Amino acid sequence: MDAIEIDHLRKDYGARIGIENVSFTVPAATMFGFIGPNGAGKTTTIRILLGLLAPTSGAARIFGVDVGSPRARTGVGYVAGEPQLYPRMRVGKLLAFLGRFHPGDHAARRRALADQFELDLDAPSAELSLGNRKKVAIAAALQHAPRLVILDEPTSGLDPIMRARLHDRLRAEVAGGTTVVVSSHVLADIQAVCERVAIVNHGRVVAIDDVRALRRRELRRVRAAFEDGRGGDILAGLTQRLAGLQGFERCGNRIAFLYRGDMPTLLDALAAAAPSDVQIEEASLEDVFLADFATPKAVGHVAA
Amino acid sequence: MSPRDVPVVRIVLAHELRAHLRGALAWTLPLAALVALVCTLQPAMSNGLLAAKLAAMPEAMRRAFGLELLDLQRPVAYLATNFMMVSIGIAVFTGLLGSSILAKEETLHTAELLYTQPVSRAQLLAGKAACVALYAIAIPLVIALVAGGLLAAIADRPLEPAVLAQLFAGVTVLALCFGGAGLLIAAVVRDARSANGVVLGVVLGTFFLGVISAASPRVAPLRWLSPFKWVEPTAIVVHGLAVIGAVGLTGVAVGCATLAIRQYRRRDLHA
Repeated sequence: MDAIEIDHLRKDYGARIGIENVSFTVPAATMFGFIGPNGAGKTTTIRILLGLLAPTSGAARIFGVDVGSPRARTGVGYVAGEPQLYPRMRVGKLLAFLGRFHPGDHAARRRALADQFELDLDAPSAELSLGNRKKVAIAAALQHAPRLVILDEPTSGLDPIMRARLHDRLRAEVAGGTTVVVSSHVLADIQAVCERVAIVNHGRVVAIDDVRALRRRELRRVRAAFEDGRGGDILAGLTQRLAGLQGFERCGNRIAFLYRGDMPTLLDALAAAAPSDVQIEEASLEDVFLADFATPKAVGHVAA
Repeated sequence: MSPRDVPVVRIVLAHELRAHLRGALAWTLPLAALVALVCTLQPAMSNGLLAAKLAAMPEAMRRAFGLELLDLQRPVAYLATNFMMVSIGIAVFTGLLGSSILAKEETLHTAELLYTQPVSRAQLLAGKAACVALYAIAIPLVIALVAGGLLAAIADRPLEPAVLAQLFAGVTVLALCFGGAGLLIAAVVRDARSANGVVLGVVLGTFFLGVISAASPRVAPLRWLSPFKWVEPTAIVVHGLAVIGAVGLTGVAVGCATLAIRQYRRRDLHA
């Protein structure tokens, strides 16, 4: 059974469209990325899944249960992009309060999560930074051993060590059978942990594919260095000789660009320019997104 | 509500009772202190001083506050003449509590924390409504115990506990009514921050509507729009608590809470 099924989902905010015709599925026990720029419709889609917003049309199910029913949220954990906590509660009491909505005793798992993410259970929630609030939200989402975890911008506010721990924890959860959905515009995070992604822009899903397949879209990031000051001239020459160049950058004698096309032609063009150093590598997910999916924002779309 | 819902309602109720305890104490203690002060003055005021003060009032004002029928030697009658601040205070507190207990999840941006749990909004809201109801009962009870204890100890005439109980039962249904209205206002008003202002307007507006309704027979029907007039303390002392008024206000409270839950269940939560 798929963990999530979304079928032609649409959400209007008055006369404006938040998302439209969003359809995808997330297989159980996988790590799924949901990427797109700010305002693309990621959070709107997630809020519909969690029952915070009602869809204008279409359907969404979690483990076969329509998201309009609270049963759909059974065994679901959620980490909000900018989690806010009850300011007068201490962290431990807050986690215990939220844990009571899920059957079972979560105390041991709660303590383990607190240790892993270095949470002070006696700290008042009102005094926590964004990063610490995020860690509390992560512990709250994972303490009841959920079968589905949805994380919205999970690493914002986390330091690199905590970011790595979160990635490790999510991988371990997936290995244990949990489905993880990560929504982010930090594509490096998605690339680091997800197997499959949906790319959303202007309220529509513009691509769904494996991360590896997306990165293999014959798109290459090329970096070259020149010993003299010819960087600008060479870049202009390459643009004339090669079709399919995008994303030019120049810094002193170093140039970088994205290339999609015939490799011998690229090598011939570079050889003619006589660079002192060349690197040709598979494009990152961010490169693919910027090259193929980041189009100007359409008028009339809004996302929460 | 099914028996399966009860544990969730209890979890939310306990959470909300703790969350609003400071606020409840902050309103209860000054009101109880005010009532205590009024009660300690009863022996001095009952020897004609209060009657003289009331006689100096314009007749329309005495009629507006229902003071013309009272035997001021009775401790409960004396208490009833000084009950306006208690009624307004408890009504304002429960109205604001009903409003803020819903609206705070959006103003504090904690809706994502609470309403993403695997329970229905109706269950969560029932717990919140139960918290409002409990405080609407508990605060008048505390003040009644203070007033009853002091008057029994220092008044020179019998206390009439049954009348005192009816006096505070009237305030309790008034508090329930405005608590329910607060819930409904928070569920209907889109801007959560302005809900408290609307609540204050409703409480004070309906109070003054009741005062105005006594000014002339032509505007007397306006009294039915004021919950304060349905359980007017001086009328309770003379005639007893009107069952129709008490049942009516309880019905308004339950109706408002039910409508609030129905309305909030359909509402999009953006934060």
